[in-house]
Amino acid sequence: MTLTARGTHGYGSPLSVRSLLTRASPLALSLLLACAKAGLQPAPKLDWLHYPAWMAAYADQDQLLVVNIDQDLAFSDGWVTGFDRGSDTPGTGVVLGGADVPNVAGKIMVLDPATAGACSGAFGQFQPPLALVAGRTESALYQIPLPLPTTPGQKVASNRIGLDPFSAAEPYGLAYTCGADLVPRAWVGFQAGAGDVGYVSQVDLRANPITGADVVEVNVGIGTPRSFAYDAAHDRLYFTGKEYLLRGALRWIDVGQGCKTFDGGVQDESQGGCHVDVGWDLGAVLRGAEPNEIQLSSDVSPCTAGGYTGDCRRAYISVRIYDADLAHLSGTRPSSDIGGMLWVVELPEGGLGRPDPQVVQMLDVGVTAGDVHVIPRAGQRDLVAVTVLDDGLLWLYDDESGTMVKVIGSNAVGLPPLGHKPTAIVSKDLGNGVVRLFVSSFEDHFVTAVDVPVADPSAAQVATGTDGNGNVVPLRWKGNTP
Amino acid sequence: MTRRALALAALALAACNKGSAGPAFRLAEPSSLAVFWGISHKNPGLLHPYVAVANTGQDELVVFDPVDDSTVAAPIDIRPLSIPTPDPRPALVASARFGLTSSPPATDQPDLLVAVSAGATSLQLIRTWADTSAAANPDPGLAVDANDSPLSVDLGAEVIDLRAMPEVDGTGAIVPDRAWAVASLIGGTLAVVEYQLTETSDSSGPIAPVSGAATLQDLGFEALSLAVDPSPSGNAAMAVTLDQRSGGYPQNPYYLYAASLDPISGSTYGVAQLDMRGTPGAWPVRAIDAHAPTRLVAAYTLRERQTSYRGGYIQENAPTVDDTDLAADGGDFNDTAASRVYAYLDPQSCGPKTAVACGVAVLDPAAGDVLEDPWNPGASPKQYLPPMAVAAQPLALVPGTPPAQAPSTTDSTSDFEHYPYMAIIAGGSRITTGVLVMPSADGRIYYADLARWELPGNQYEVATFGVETQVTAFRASGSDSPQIALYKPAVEPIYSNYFATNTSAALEPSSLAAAFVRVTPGFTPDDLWSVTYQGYLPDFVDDRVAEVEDAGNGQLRVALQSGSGSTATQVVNVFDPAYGVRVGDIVELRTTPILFGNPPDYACPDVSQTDPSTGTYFKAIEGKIVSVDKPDASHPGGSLVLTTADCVPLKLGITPTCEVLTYGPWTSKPGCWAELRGASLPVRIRAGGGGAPDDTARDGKDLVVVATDAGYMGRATTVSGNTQGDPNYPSFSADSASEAALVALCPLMPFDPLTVPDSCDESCRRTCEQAAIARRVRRRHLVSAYCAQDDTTCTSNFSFADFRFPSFVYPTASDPLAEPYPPPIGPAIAFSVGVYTVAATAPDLLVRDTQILITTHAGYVPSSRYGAGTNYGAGARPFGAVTFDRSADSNWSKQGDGVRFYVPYVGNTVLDVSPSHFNSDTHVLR
Repeated sequence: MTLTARGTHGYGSPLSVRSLLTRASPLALSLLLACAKAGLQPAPKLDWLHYPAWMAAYADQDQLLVVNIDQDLAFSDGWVTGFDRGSDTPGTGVVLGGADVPNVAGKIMVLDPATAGACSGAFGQFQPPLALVAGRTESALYQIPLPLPTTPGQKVASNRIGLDPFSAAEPYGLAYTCGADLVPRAWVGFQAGAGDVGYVSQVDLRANPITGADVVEVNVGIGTPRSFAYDAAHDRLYFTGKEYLLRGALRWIDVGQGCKTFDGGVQDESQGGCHVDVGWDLGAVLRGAEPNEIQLSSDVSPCTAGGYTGDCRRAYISVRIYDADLAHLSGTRPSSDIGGMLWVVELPEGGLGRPDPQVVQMLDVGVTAGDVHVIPRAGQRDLVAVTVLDDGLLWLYDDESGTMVKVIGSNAVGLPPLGHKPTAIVSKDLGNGVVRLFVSSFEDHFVTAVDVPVADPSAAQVATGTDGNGNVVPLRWKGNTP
Repeated sequence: MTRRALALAALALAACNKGSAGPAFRLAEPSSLAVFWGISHKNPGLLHPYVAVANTGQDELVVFDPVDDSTVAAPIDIRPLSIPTPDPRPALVASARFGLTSSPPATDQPDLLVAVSAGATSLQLIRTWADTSAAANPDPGLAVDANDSPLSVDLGAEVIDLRAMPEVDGTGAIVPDRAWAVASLIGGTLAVVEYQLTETSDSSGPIAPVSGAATLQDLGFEALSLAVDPSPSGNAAMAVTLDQRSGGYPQNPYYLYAASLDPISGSTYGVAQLDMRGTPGAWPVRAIDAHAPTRLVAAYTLRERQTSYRGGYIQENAPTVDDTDLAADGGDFNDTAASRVYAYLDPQSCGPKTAVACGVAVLDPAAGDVLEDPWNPGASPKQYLPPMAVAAQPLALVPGTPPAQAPSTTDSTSDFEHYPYMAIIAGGSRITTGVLVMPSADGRIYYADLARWELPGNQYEVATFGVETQVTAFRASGSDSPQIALYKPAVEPIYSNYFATNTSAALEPSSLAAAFVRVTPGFTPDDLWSVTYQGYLPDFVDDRVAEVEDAGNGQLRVALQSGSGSTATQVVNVFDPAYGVRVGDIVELRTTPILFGNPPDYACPDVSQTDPSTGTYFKAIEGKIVSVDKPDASHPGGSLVLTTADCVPLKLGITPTCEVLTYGPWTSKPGCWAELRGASLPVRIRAGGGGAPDDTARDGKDLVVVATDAGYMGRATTVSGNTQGDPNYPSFSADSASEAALVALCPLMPFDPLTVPDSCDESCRRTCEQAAIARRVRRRHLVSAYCAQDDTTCTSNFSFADFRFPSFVYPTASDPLAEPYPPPIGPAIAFSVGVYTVAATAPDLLVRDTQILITTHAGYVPSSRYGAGTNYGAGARPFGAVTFDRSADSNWSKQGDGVRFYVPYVGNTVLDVSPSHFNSDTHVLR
């Protein structure tokens, strides 16, 4: 046998205790769901917020879509609640219609002519605008036609695309790509995979979701995927992954002509399928680091690190810090975090056809770093908003100055103005130099607006509105949640 | 026991706080520490040292006593004292001593303590003095004005780093009752806030900012890290009179140092030296050239080692001190102290791709440059001391002074007399004059022996015990075909007892050839080296997508990219010599029918299928590189021009043959080569092997050498046999000796595909390849011990080093103890290689993939302290560190503890460690 240095992908590790746990968790979740549904739980309250986790905006109609994941299984399903994003009315907000999705749903994204890019024309059955929601317990992807109806509580029917993964479960993360081949593809990452192997399903959105979607299941190596970000200029789909044996990697798929299924349903790069790269290990940079959410900079800017010239795109990555010592001892990642960070990483092209990530900033943000949201600014690097779940924080990072400029944490009496476990962020440019952020509180079941003056983000503050009694109060929506 | 059970047991153990008594620390993401002297109810009426902790997750500061590692309790005695900060997430705290006045006594003076929060611009003063207000709070707290408003100063921008120090006047003298807090701000501004201590006949305090505004200075660069030299003023003269404030006043109180990624004073990358004798807001800036941008900085003044054998460490468990004449002790350290600046080089601006090795650079502020190599003074061009290599990225640099009452020997616990020496414990114990503690990204706390410019190891590279630098494993080719073998050196025996029993061997194919490999302490890494005939180049062992074009004359052009021109992706810079692609190398074109649209008359081998006759996958059709072309608009990484490949030397059954039908050119599929034009397919690249593959010559074969970690190492060319070894040993050497000369001849470093000159031909590319390899095998550690035996043995007979490391330079003077004795310099690995024929009847051809494997062991594991993890392993995300000398006051009865370092970890922990003690003496404060 000849030993060939390097080039190990780390695929095919033996089944471990971890993998058994990974397999067991979706099973347990399914059993729990079955029990819940057998108990004739009430139907979803489309005008309520109930563990709002993920959000997206349909800009054309100024609609805010909130995924309620019904974590306590109080209802028969989860659902999407719509709000009029342009309303300044605190309290209930202006509630729109909604759609059913499974309990414990995954992420949501909106594809409209602006976000679907060159593939937004008539490509088969792909007809934006629509929203995609990952159905974790159903191993399916849901298409919700947009706009949502304006009548509160009115339901719009969604289309279910069965992903039918062979080795994975719990679809969670979402992405969309439209490359040079003008094929609109959705990408769905699974939170569970046999042997802790990560899997991503590639969905050709041109196919009829009812009669049979074109789905390719892609083995992306050890570590299940979490969050995606697409670099169109390099046709590269980045994704973060869960820790495995102290490795927490940023990996990527070179999309090209897409991933392809060959013998036995296996995606094979050597036969022309996409390239899945082993990636870059954050855990090797900082012990206990595990990437969570990722967004790319809105534009490229001159490279600043690693001696690279030309322009670079940056990645903003929320990084969860876990007790690596305990993980090493127990053989599994501890369920809780001990810290969290925002990493700013430049992505210059190295000489071997892959990016050569360069860490520009590592900023501590608190325990359980969550969503990352990019706010573009003309002529300047981006503003970046980050939620921190366990510490109840919203940070604003100014990439132009390279520093945190604002943190919204507990107020003077120790209460978190954004609620406990601030989770997802959506923004809206108000057009007056102010960008309004909408932040969901997972545990307090509301959405709070934060106004960010982009020229002076340190002056960001919770937006206010006038309630029915004429009082100025925080602009916070909870629908008709009791 | 299952792993889960182990985990539970560990958790149970972790519940035991082995650090402290009193209320738990209630730490939540502690991020910064500062030692200050102040007043609290824990020691009523007494000025006492405390440590302020920025307890970030709780939006507060908490305080503990470093003498006994116990918290200062809150009035309700169930939790530590909490000092809430006006801004959430306190991130930085700093303290400074005020200048002394004659009356009242110095020991009555509380210290300045300030804090700033993440993302905030307000510098908050913390009360350390006795509160004489109506509330009369006996403990430290938020300093407020008469209106109960926080005594804060707005700095105008967010803070990157924060330091505090005694104020100095224009002559450099310390100003009584004044101190500065200095903050580096985003945008390249320095903010200085002046504080005054009010003293009366019966009390010291309060402290207040002199002005409500900071004095700002535009630096022109952004300071990522600030430092002052904390070495006590007596260190140079060694006539120290320390008060109980450990360390007294700093030796060079008027210099502030700043690390930066930006050029300083126009064009110098390194460290800025600001002279605080000037007017705040206009402190003169002087650049110290570190030859690269810097991220962290520290300063210290100490007596460094002598360059002779005596400067090594092995025998140093007690200082050679003449108490009556310290300057003439004839000992191991220079008689006079030198000011040094230590800068952690930006890891993205150093390393094998650059002209600078990575690590912590030792700077000579007097020269404004990296410290000159003390073993090569006056050389032209100037020779520099290499940076101290680090095992992981340091997150802070904190120098530690020797304890005020230092032990007489490294194992003494009762006799304290030898300031300014301190003991450190690594693989053994030794005496030094200063350490630099480095909490690092891998969760460990490393420390440097500053007197010897190295991180001490847990093992010795040169030792008669343990596992010194050596070859630990050797896998022979092990076939009945011709094998790769190594020549015995004709001179300079390298290693071990092999020669006693194998004196006649000249070309050794077995694992005994391990003895013929030269290694060098400080250069040879822990690595696995492969030496392979026609092996894969390490960066091309996996599939890489390539576009194939017609190059005319029956040749193909292959560009490793997807698509073409400006929109091409996955572009590989094949022209970059660092990757080792040469003319004569072999490109495997990995064809499958699906790539060609599944034509019914598919003309190429299908590498996805197995050959029924052999059960192995069909081999790829190959091309031989006849030209490596520079990048152009269509091929942004360059391209390879291929002609049909040579035959492939292999053994089918027992028959050696150079195969062409189903290997290499695939003459059984004559239509394939033409079909490849226009294809997009995966490729891999092998080394060509030198010469013709079907000849039976034993010399001139190029074997590709790969280090698993370090990468491509070039080609080892086989040489003809000798009867008693190779007089030209070694024929292959991976060394860095010629790096500068090679780089000077290479126009491609750094490689920029947009500016490749036409003049760089294949010969030029070979030079560049050697330059790139030289950079990969630079010194990794400055070895400061050469002999593991006692003085007499080492100086009279260097047998150990002589026997194993002949590249050492030995003293020849009559007094070898005094003669400069430079660290060894040599190759990371070297050998002479040949082709060994097993027997006269054996096959003649050297078969593709014939290989030997060599495992090398560096013999060096840098020593560290750790324990912040749940299982007392390495924790995650340490921040900075502070130092505290428990020997400073004999009333504490802690002389044996010496100097301690406190390191906060994000996982709700502060570690109390000491390089002078074993890691078992690490205390976990939670």
